[in-house]
Amino acid sequence: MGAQKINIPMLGIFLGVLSALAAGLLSVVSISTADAIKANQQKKTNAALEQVLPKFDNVPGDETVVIDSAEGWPVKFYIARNGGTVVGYAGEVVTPKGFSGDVTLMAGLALDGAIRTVIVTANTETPGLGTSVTDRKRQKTLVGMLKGGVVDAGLPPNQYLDQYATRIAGAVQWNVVKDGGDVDAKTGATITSRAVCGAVYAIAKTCTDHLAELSTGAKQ
Amino acid sequence: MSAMNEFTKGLWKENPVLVLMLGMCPTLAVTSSATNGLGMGLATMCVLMCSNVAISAIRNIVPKKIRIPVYIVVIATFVTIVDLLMQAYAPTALYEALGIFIPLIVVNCIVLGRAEAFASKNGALKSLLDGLGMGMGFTLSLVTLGATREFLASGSLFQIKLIPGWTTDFMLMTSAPGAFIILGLFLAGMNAMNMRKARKNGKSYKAANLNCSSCNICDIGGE
Repeated sequence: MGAQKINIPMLGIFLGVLSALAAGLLSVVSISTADAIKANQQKKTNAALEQVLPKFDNVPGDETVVIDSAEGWPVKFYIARNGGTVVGYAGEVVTPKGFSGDVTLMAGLALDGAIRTVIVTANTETPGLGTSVTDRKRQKTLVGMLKGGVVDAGLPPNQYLDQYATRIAGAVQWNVVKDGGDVDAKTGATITSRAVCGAVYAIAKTCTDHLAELSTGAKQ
Repeated sequence: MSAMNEFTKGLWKENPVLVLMLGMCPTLAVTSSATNGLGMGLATMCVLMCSNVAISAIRNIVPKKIRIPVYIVVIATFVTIVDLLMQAYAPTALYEALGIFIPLIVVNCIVLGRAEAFASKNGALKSLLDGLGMGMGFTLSLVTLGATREFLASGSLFQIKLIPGWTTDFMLMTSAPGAFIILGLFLAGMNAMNMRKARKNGKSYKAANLNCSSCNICDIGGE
């Protein structure tokens, strides 16, 4: 084996040709799936918007305003209209304060800045602990399935997310009970609860602070 | 007959997870629920079959010195294709759960191990069957592990609650230590079954010899 001559340039060329072939194949697949992937992401955003906003007939994804919150987090506002009049805003923010990484949160807001619905669109929290704060899931049961029970439409409830409904952000930062506030936190998932609370407040505060801007931004 | 054998050996006798002990990282990480196990298993099976066939087809023209980088390029290409296809066409929830693990298939020992130990020495059809069998074995182990953990954690299977009124999750089972404990019990059970079988046939059971001389993956043991 030691006597075997190694033609290093040949090996390099072989690897190069193979990599070029692989790259060609990948670009074909990438181009042909690009549309489907984009449509999927759009569908996901739209589904989230439909959950937090009242009935709308425009494409809120095309009418967005980005405003930085007091913490410096960019809050992306989607503007929903029905028949041309603005019916609500949806704010989306990414908080880095989750227990294990970023938590992306979306809140629907009424015209006066009061919160309608809060959902978490992306998170990597601990399954079973942090996710009980972030997830809205309707539990399917075997008994229910055998009965062929009614499939509930609408958003599944989550007490930790629903507690923000109708709140309007004032000057005082919302806090979980442990930090002296009045927001319920899930035992064992205080960090996630805090992150969600902070992010919801950031969206709501940014919205009330820039209500005028949002309604004029919507007119364009 | 022998072709059939290439397929079935991966299911039990040479099960990649429970006997060969390959691919422990995805096994421990994704088996927190039966659904995740199934998705990861199927994605790996898909990559394994494609890469086995491709590597088997080019096995005679690949210079021996650079075979490992060549295999990695081939495997990485198929993994990226699977990743893109899943992003485009798989249910969003499934992709979200598996997204971070898909790129890890590239370095999954099962895929590289089968390329080196089997596909580089056998024809395309045999390699395809080997990939299918190993992939099925991997999927079956992941689903069984995932189902056990999910059931013990919350009394549900594939996100469907089987026991009404089970509201508090048993957290140990969904976390990493639970994964090790359940995997350990599975391995013990597998060994116990093999020992019992050997005793019935009047032989003494010897666990698979896992040192260099019995392994054919690299050349160290052989020379």
